[in-house]
Amino acid sequence: MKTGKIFLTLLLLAAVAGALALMKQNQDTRRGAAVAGANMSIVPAAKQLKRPGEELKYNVNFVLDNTNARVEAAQVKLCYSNHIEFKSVIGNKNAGFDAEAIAAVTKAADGNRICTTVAFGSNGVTSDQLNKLKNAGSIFEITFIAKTVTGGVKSISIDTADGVTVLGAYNPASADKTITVRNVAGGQYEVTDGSTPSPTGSSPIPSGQPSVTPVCRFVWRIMRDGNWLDASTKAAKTESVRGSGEPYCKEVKVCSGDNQLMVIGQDYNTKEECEAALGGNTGNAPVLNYKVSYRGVLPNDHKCMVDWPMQVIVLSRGTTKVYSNVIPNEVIDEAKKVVLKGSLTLTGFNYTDQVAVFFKGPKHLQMKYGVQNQSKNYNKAGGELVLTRDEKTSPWYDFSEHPMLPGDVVGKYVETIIGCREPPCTHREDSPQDGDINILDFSYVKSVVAKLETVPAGQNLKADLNGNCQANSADLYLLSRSLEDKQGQLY
Amino acid sequence: MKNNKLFWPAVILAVIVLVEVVVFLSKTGSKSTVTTGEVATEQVDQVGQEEPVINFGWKEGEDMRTLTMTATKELVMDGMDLYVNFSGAENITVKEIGGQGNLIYSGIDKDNSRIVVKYYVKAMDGLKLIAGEAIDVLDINYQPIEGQKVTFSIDPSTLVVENGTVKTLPYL
Repeated sequence: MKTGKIFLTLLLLAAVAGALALMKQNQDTRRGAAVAGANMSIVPAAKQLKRPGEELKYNVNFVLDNTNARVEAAQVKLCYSNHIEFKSVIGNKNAGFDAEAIAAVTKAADGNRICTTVAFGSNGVTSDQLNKLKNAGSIFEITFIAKTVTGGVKSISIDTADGVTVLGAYNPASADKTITVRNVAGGQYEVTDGSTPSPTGSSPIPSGQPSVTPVCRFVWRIMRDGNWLDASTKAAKTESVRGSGEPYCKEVKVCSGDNQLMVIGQDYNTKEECEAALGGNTGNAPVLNYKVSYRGVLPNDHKCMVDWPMQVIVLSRGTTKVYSNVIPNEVIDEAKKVVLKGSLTLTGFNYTDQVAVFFKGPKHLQMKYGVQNQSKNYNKAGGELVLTRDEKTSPWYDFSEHPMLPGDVVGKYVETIIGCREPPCTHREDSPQDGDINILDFSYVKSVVAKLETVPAGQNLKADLNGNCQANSADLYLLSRSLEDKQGQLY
Repeated sequence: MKNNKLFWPAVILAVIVLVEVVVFLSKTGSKSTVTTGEVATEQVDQVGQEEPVINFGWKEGEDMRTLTMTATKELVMDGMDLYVNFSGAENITVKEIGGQGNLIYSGIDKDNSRIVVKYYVKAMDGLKLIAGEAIDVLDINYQPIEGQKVTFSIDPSTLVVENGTVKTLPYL
């Protein structure tokens, strides 16, 4: 009787203590529910008027209400009509996001709506770049292709239903990473068949349009009757109204937010020059003829350097275009190096001058090239390469004297769960490159070298940096040399 | 007592509460997840969530500090990317200790007020750390800036990696 009483009393006391612990835990969770609130917007908000086949580009921006908070991850669901089609998306590295999306999933929604959900992280952001994470800025630029005539104005919106659009805060001190999305603003577009006059080839910035973060881009203006007017690629053909001696067209830089219109850039004085610069009219995209090399890959000893895929990014006047899985056309064994030679048609990229190009091998750091026969780092903004739209006439740019540095093989352990609910869904072997050579790469290569792992000719071993089919001390040496070079550049 | 009508309901209720406590507390703080029906991204922050196995500490001298490192259990390290934030100090110089035969790169990242040291152990079997035994990692000499408090702290982006497994080791 007495024992039962004591047991019950102790049990009830334990239950009360547990309940109090739960209450405290709940309070902590509530307090940690959000480190900041965010307003998100699609820029430009003003209507974009396009014709089938033309591109629509939007930036998705955010502004946090907590100036101390920074965003390190984002998932955004954009919904739009089926008159346009998702083409590509690129993360804003200036705000610390990886260029490549973790995932981009497009699904049909109600009616004729389609939704694309994209997720970006900052896994590739090195420790040195954490200060790039921001509390306001653009997350990514998304590109659509106009497919069919809309028959009126359509909207593109950010869907916040069911918490599908979320931002994650950089908050290493706590597991509390949630940012509440409070307000969202969308954009508009119209696809016409050309019978409707198109006043602009890209979106005008309406006066009084509020925008917290200025987003700048280049648009084309055409000279008519002594005035610079908005121009589209097709509208630029009306030669009759151009005054004598006036330039035919030119590029201008337009910034949202502060409504600045800066007229800069080169004048194009003839219709042909203008159309070539605008692109699309000749049907030919610019062509990059290149020669590159990988440090450490030696002539006649690279049986496992077979079709290593490269990522190529081209840049001109602030516009970039990414080409993944680029395989060179030819591998040439020279006396002291192995040269990879190829022609890359820059589909979707319209610039032929002031071009810079970034090459990144599958186990290499990204290298920037801006001049012919470059033999050291190109430490300038932009580039000086000039291209043509014909493979035969476009210059061959030789960057092989400044080889890509090997060593970026793995990144920090991150589980990415897509359609998987029972981890481990990924393995360390699959952990992606992080854009840096660090202790993780060193330790990984060392662990494989310790086993002297070897693969048959034609196969790829991640830690085999020189492509000779075996991970050995030469690979570790190559990695340490890359580190040395990189550290020498930084400090 | 047991004849009391409230005895068994009270016992059952108390047991349910205790089970809830155990289940809930074991779940919280393990991982941060952003989830939707379509895409889920799960970031495992090993440093912040696991029990630290390495403790960094400081020894102070006149215008100098020594960073020490103590393992809480025996482990083998492949090296580290060490980032030390500083404030209130200038003309900083660093001297790595015990690095003979290893790959070491160090520098001062003035833009971010940070000392950067890459300490990579060349030996294939790594560097063995004995539980409880502190080793000196780095000597930092500096000049204090007048009127400012001198601080040095380990930046959370620091990575310490275990030999063989390529796992990051949690530290404090």
